[in-house]
Amino acid sequence: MKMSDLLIVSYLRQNARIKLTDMSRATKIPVSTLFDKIKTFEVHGLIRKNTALVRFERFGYQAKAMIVFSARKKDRQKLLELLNKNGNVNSLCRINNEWDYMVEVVFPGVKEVEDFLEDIEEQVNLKNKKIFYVIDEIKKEEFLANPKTAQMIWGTQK
Amino acid sequence: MGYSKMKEREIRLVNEFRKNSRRSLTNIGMNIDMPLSTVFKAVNRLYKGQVITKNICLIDFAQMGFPYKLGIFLTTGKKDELKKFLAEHTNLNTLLRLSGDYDFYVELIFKDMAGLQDFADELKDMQLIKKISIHFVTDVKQEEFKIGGEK
Repeated sequence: MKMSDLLIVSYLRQNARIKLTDMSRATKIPVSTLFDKIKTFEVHGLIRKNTALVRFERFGYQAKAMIVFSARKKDRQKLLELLNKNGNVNSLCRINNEWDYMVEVVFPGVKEVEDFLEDIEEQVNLKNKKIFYVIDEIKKEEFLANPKTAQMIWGTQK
Repeated sequence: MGYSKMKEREIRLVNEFRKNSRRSLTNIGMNIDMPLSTVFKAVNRLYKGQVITKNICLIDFAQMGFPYKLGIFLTTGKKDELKKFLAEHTNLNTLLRLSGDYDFYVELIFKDMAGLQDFADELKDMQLIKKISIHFVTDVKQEEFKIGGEK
């Protein structure tokens, strides 16, 4: 990874809708190079997705929670499938240290979150689960989202 | 135009932005059969009203040379002090305030185990932590929620 690549990614992390002409002006990298680089990043899966962060509560989704699950080995695949296909699961990851999966869910209210958990428990024999409601999103997706700090991080990573 | 009609338009637009926020407004409008002028006005409303807070690019940090993603649940007696320390940390990706057993969930990205150990030492030196649970995180899906259950 070159410094220029890190810079391109950080501009996109800061604002995924940035125009290539603006990025070119800021980075002194030609537009055609930026275009090619971004395409390559997409093809190789370095860029996974360009998306918008949204305050879902404005649309009536008042409950956001982090839930961690653990299940016996034979039940893990089914749990993963259930979590993966559920439309209210915003993000899903594997985690270690006592737990197997962690999800971030978005629901209209607490009742719906509880219904979701009940539904999962009816279908999978869980070893354990724990729920933490999100009171405030203080920062989200901020790593390498500032070209200035990205340069600083690059300096320390060399 | 009625409130519900306006809301419906906003929902369709937000879901399009969630799918791919880098597309042009013309392209987005074409996808949902909405004139460009309407798209433009509605998008401006969504930004001004802080409904869309940010357009971001989700990346595979491991490919960028940062293979360690850590998710940490923390409880402290000094919330403001810990929040300030975490929010300003160079390796911070996400910071959430929680209810329940833990005060915060923090996600950090590191290049190597040494960086991770430095962070753990810094945290220990501050003597702010009452309870901590540390996990390595591997993403399966990210930011996939669509309003109204749209696929």
